[in-house]
Amino acid sequence: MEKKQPQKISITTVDGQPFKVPVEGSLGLMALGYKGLIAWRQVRRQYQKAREANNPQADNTQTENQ
Amino acid sequence: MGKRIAKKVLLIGWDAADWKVISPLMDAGHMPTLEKLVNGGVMGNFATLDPPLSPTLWTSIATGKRPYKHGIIGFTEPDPSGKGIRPVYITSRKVKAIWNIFNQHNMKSHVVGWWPSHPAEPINGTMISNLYQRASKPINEAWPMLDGTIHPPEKTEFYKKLRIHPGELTGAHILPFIPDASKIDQEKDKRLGMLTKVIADCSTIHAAATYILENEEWDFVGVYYDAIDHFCHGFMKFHPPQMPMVPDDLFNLYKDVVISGYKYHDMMLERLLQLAGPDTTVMLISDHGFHPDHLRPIELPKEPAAPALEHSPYGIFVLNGPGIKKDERIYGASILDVTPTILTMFGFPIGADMDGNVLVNAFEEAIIPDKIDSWDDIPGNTGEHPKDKQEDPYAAAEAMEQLIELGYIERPSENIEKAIKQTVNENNYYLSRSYINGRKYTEAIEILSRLFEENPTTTRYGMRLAHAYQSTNKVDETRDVLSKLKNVQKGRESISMKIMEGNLLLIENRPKDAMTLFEQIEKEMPDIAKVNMQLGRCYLALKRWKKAETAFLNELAHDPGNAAAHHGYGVTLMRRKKYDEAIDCFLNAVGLTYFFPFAHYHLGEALFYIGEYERSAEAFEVCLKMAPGINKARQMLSTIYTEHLKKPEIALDHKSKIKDHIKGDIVIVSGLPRSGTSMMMQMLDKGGIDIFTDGVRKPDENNPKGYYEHEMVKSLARNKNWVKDAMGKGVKVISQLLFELPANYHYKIIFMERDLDEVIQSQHKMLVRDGKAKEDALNIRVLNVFKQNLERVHNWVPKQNNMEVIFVPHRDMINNPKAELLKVNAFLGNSLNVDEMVKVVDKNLHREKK
Repeated sequence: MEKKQPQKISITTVDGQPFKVPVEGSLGLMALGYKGLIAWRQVRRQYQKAREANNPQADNTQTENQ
Repeated sequence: MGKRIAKKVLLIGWDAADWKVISPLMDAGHMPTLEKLVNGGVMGNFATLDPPLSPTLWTSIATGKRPYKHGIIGFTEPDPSGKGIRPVYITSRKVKAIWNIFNQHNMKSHVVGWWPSHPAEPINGTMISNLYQRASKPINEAWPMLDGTIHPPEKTEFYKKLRIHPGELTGAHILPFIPDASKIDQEKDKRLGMLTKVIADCSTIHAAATYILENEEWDFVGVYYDAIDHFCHGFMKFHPPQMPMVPDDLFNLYKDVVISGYKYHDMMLERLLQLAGPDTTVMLISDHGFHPDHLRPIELPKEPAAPALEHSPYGIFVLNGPGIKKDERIYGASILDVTPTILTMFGFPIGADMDGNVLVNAFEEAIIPDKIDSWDDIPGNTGEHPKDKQEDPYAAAEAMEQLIELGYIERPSENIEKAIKQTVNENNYYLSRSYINGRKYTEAIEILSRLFEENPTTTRYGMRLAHAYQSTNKVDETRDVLSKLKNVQKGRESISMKIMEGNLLLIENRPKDAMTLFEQIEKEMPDIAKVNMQLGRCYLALKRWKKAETAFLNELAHDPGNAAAHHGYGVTLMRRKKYDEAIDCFLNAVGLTYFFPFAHYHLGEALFYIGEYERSAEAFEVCLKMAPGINKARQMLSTIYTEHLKKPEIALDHKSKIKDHIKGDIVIVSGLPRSGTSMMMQMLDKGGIDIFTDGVRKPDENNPKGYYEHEMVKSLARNKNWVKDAMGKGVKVISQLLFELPANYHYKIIFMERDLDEVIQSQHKMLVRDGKAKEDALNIRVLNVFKQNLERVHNWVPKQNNMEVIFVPHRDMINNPKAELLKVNAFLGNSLNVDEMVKVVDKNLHREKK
């Protein structure tokens, strides 16, 4: 079943335009269900990585315990 | 199999959703998805059950059965290991849920978050239990998942990843609910934390449900969201209009939470519908509503499940899909109708043991549902837990107690023991309420009597027992319980107790006394709305139409959704010949509660008076469909079809049914010989009831006023043919023969009770007078036999569906005949001449006294 899960989820608007997922998330993304959740978490991870790359001393205590 | 109307069914549960919140939101365009669903399908109120506890209700939704049948009766239950209590488990459910029936037919079902559904059942599909979404630890600690949360278990790791921890949420999720969240001092005010958990939990359920809809094959998906209930319990007190006790700062902070919660659900609904596709039949339901207005309680009592008092009795339902009518309202639906309706949509028969009905008015085509006796008797692979895993936690708790008593097991610590006992008591209390709700009063009284005896200071047990007695017109027993409650409360009578006393006076056909009492309550507590209905009923009984109108209008100003008040108001108008206005009131009443036979009856009556005979006949027909015993409606129909609609064959049919119905009614006077049965027969005779007697046994010294017997009765054990000749009459049948009465008649039994020593003395004197016994040879051996017979009567008769009984103490009848005969008259429908009956008592004939 996990195989069915897309590796990278992209969200589009109703008129087919790519939707830029905000790093802080949104209720709209949550309402999209699992796809919105996964897309938000991907963006959040990328942001986290970028932040850590820019500031390797940053203390990231928050872990996602999934 | 019948015709399959639905290809796939998506059942969405929104706990506590209420039209009173939704309608204004839809009108303002804030719930566009739901509005579209409503406009493209049918909608209506969904009557809930009592007690309105979510795990019991959602199991009734999934089984079509009441809690006393399905076995889920509370929030928690004793852990069968005896180690404490636990959240209620699916293994305590005694009957099949709808997905188990589908499983037997190789259909694919997925169930998400249903309450209760832990441990997940091994169905042909996915089951995600109700213990899936809760995070109990901070985000930086491990969040394990309980065994049994996911079926199939190999999907556990995947679904773990779809859980959303409250700690993940940001301002983007919170601010739509509380725009000024930053002003909250979270050290003192924990509401923000609670809100965050609710949003995370329902988003978790939604994530799992959307995954299933998009990636699994399915015939049926059931998904349950509990967030609206939580939003409401936490924040409805801050919902506009501002309640008097809510300070401005808290009102301004939290006033948007409930509305935002509903809007969020509309957004989630949009996604579910997109994924389900246009060929899916969608049913959106709630198990009960939630008062959003002036009916919000100001204070909750300190008792378990007190928050349920905030629930309103009507939930919502919407049904939309192929073969379903469009933009129509359906009346009279109940949460019990979900399973029968979905089974029918898939072409399956419904179980005759289900308590709900198919919502036939929702379908475009006429549907006649098929029936089988019970789905629980049909073997197959149901996807339930194996029998050895299914549990009866109450039997387990009892068995555990027995082992402790016998010394095989050590008694658990005092606190655990207390918690188990408390849980068992509360759940039995809920079970008794479920019985009362299903009009099974005997079972309810049995449980409540025990509970109240063991816990005499728990007033809610006593009040509920009094209510059960009152509902069966057992006036003395009700008063006995009320007096015990009064003693517990050191002589203080609560308003509820006073109201109950007033209701008893109404049962005794003493409306003036009842009115005086209710008026006194109203004077003492002018703000109390509870007595409006009672006062209205008193004034109706006294034919004081104007005052009755005022009382019902007061009630309607307080609660415009009270169907009984609309009905009462309509009666006051009809009695003053304001037929058109009365018709509006009756239509309002049935619009709110369709299952209301007397509102349909009075609607028919009002339509008859204005000459609308077709519509009048229709209303009487509906009334009879709900309550076939209302012969007045048949009489009216017979008149309408004969004189106005010129359909004599239909009139004749109704006339014959009147006869059918009368067939069952027989008044029985019973008791031990020499307990006053002849006196009661004579009273009935004087009161105006036809007596079934052949006059063979003549009056004598033992019974100077006659025996009022029939020789055929003696042969009852072997010959029941004569019983039809006693229809509509009063018959004397000694207590030993009661058990021989045939079951195809309905009996109203007046059972005379006399002190047993007096009975034996009297029988002895009679035998001596007849020369059949010696003066000094009193046979006391029969005492035990009589005692056993009386015990059997007390146990057996009230449990018979075709029998109603009133026990009349002989001594009270001699000393205060008027009071006793008023009760007998009320029992028999208030049609007797009580003054003539009273004259029968001759104290000189009461010769054996203790």
